[in-house]
Amino acid sequence: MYSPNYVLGPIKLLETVELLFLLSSEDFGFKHRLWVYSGRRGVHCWVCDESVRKLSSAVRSGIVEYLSLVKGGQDVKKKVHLSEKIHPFVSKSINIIKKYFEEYALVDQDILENKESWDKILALVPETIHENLQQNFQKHHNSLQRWEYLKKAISCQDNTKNDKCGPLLEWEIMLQYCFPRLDINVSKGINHLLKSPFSVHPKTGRISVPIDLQKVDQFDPFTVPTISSICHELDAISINDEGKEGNEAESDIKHRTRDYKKTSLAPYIKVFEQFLENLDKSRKGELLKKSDLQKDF
Amino acid sequence: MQFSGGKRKKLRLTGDQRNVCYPHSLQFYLEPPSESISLIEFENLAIDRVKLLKAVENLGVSYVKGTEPYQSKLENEIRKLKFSFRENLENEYEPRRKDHISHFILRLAYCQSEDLRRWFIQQEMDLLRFRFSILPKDKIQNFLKDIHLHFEAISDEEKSVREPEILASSPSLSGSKTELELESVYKIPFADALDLFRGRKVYLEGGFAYVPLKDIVAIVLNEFRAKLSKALAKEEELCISLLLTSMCADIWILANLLEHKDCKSLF
Repeated sequence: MYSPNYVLGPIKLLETVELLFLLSSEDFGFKHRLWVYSGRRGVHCWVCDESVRKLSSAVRSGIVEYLSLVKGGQDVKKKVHLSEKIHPFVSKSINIIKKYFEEYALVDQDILENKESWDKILALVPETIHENLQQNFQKHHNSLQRWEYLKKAISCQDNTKNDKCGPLLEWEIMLQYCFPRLDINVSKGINHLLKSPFSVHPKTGRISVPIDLQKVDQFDPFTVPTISSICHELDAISINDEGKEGNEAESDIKHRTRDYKKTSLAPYIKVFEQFLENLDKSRKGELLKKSDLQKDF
Repeated sequence: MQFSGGKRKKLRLTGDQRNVCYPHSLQFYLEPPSESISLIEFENLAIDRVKLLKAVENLGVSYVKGTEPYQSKLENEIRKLKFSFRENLENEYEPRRKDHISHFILRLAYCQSEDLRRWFIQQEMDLLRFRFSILPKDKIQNFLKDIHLHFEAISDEEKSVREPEILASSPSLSGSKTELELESVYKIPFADALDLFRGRKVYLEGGFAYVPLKDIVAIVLNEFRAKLSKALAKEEELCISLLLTSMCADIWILANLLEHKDCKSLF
């Protein structure tokens, strides 16, 4: 689905963040989440609530299982199966995905662009309508039109009882293309290595920066600083400072540790600091509550 | 636990105190018994409980658990052997005491190997499941509190607000509104309902799982299994260390006897 040079697009990011934010708050009650761009295709969500940090490996596994809707590797064609009884988690997810499907899947990803791409979609619908779809897709000009046609073709009236049809099938396709995939190993293992915020992505050179949720719709991965751009900025700063007086006594290292705030990392560092501040405030609030209960003054 | 060789010593409690000891017809066996009993009673209690657990096993093989013939036959067996099973009966103290003490005696016997432990846990779980299934609804909350599961039943109002979500999430409910109206729903921290939420078989909201009574049983049984497993593992260690101690004692006695013959080379 993703080409090798695929970079996390703004629409996908927005959809992923909105979806996971909602689910992690509403279903699990998570409060302190830091969203960090991975540097290429993904986003990391750091959940820092104290109670969550103490959860066992089994419960973490369970959370990932709960949040997994798209299952199967390259050899599995149909990766989403919904039952008649729709769990509120699924209906919430579909409501959000509906907002983004057209822009992301039909325009941006163009999933019904040509025969090669629409054959993949055909693998997800009953064989009985394949011929019909193949013929009629030729007559349409873009993914949007083809999708509309597809929706009509899979409506219940045209299919036998055994095949899935109608809204359920439509949602399965939408979920398969839009629902985010979680990395189970990172999430469940307590000893698993984690990529720290502000680390450098080995393939793109981009820095894993925290994402400002207030401005998530403006996030553009191509404007995220790379390690080389930061180095250039730091060099430029030290050349400027050389001319100034009174800095000779300070060591080179001290210089650089102040300077990172003058680079384009500054806004991202602010997001991080704000997050830590909120976490700290919350922790202090909890401690106060506890000591009040114990009547420690 | 102490046992005297000769006369039978029995704790004499007044009626109220006896009820406080055993408030329910079923329990998690969290506290070991602390009274003195005779060796004869010790033996009899053990034998009776083994008979009961064997009956549980056989009935589980011959009938589908939870169905009518299984339930009534199991009740008969329990009644025959004079163990506790039902609330609100007269003179429940003796059967409950018997249940309590005999369980702990069998723990010592069945902790010795993996196979024995597995068998024991399975039958005890089936027994608990049966007893829980006939527990009156108004007694459930108290029982849960006594076994330290702080699961609260939600009010009818809270239930009706979440009715569509709960019905859509719980496979154990058929989907009818009337069924939900009659069923209690419990609000528990999501981490306590692992088997339910990981398969999306329960409604989650704000970090809590809204679990219908039918599904609470599974959670209660899991808790029971976990606790019993742990206890048996500890008891196995205790038994091993007792065994070693008695082996050492034998060696030391032998050593003393042989000292005069100067056989220190044996050691």
